[in-house]
Amino acid sequence: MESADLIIKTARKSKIQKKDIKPEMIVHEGTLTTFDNPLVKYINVKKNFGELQVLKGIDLEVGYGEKLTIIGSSGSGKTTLIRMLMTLEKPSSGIMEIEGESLWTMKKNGKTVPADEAHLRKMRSKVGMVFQQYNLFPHMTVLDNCTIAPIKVKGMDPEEAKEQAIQMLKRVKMSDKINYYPNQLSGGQKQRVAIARAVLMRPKILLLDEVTSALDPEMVGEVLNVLNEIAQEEKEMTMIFVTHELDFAREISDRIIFINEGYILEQGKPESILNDPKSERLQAFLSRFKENRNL
Amino acid sequence: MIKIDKILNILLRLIDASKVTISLTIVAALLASVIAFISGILLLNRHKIIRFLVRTYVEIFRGTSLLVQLYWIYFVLPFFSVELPKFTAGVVAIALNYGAYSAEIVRAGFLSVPKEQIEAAKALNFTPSQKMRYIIFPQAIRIMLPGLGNQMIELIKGTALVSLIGLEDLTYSGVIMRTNDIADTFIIFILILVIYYAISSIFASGFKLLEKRANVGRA
Ligand SMILES: Nc1ncnc2c1ncn2[C@@H]1O[C@H](COP(=O)(O)OP(=O)(O)O)[C@@H](O)[C@H]1O
Ligand SMILES: [Mg+2]
Repeated sequence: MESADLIIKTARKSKIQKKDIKPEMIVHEGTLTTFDNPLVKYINVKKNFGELQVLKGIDLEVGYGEKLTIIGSSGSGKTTLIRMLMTLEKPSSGIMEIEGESLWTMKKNGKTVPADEAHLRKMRSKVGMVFQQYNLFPHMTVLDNCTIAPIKVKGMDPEEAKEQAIQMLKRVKMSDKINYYPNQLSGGQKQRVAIARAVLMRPKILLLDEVTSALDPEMVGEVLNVLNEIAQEEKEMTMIFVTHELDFAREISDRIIFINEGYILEQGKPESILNDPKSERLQAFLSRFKENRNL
Repeated sequence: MIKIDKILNILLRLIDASKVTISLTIVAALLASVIAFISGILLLNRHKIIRFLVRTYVEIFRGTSLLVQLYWIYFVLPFFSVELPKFTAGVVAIALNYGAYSAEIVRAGFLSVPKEQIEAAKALNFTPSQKMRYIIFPQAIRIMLPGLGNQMIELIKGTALVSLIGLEDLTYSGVIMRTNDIADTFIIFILILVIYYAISSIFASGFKLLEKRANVGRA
């Protein structure tokens, strides 16, 4: 009896300890991970959903104009990580900053207080997001989807907004469908409109969460092509991709980070991360992909 | 010939009385809508006490009869020094009753808007009121309209109860005219049916138009 108790106790203890130890972050040679003037900064950011610890201590800086890709297995917290930057999810602890200014707190009469809606709106104006499920507004045409926020939120002149939207829709090859409603479009077309809608707000940081995962295979290519072009052209715009399209990530990213069990385990330039993974976890993750491809 | 004259005469008097029914319908429906929207939104309030209070109102007014509510407002409230004219009493009773039924429809309509839509609006940095006006409301109203249209028709039919507190609406006038000449009973009540049906049809087609508008872009 006694020995059984002991085993259980030790097991519990070791489990807790394992949870609390932050793994050494592996940084591949020649990778820029800190910046004099970072656009985005996460400092020891943690996030739980109830009992579930999803992110256990994220430290991350993102530079101006950087194209960053986040990879990691399903459920590892990639979506949660970027949703916090869009203010759709609030961290349980830690500090997040955009352009050196704290996202979730603000200064009021010299004191630090939780951010109010006005502060969050100011910060949110620097961020945009493209969702896995497009989330176009079904009651508006393609054109209205693209112009409503510039007009209502940014106060842009409607004619000007329309002109810009048409230009942008040309870039995503949707300008022949401006008067269509979302439910008249294919998944790939919807997602291209969603990309146009987000870019038109000219955010400093654009978040793209598995934007091709919900698409039929034959539509993935058209969306990735459009994204590739936009990533090339929008040099100023910082983009954070969550994707399982590793070839795409290799082509467009400046840096790839690998998330595992709530921590950033490994990061580096695309070639290096994808060809020369250091940790067993990343090796296993990448070989699962290669296997799937061969199927 | 005399017969046609007589029918026409009855019809004109009934149409005259239906003005009361129509204005009662419009005023009560507007007030019921305001009550329904406020209550429906409050049923989603994060404070439990507020939800409980509104829920209590809804349950009481749905769980008891409109006629009894009308009697309370017209006959009982004066004992507490609240005396309302017949028309006002009718409006208040009908609006409170149908407002309670419709609050549930409004609540369900708002709940039907996917949370992804709200997140997309947030990602585009809409203010809370812009989010409501441009994104949530147009999608919620589409779900609400069929239910609200049904309630509208019920409300029109429900207005007939005000004849029981002596308000001279369509039904009341019919009953009075009938006592003048019992032989006209049949013709009077046929015409009453037709007029109620006509009023309902007009409002129903109004709702159909609104539904069509709210359905733009949907399959
Ligand atoms: N709102 C939520 N409530 C509870 N659990 C959540 C919520 N959002 C995400 N999770 C959980 O957090 C974990 C990480 O989710 P997510 O960030 O979506 O991972 P990924 O995008 O890497 O697949 C998953 O186990 C998921 O079930
Ligand atoms: Mg995800």
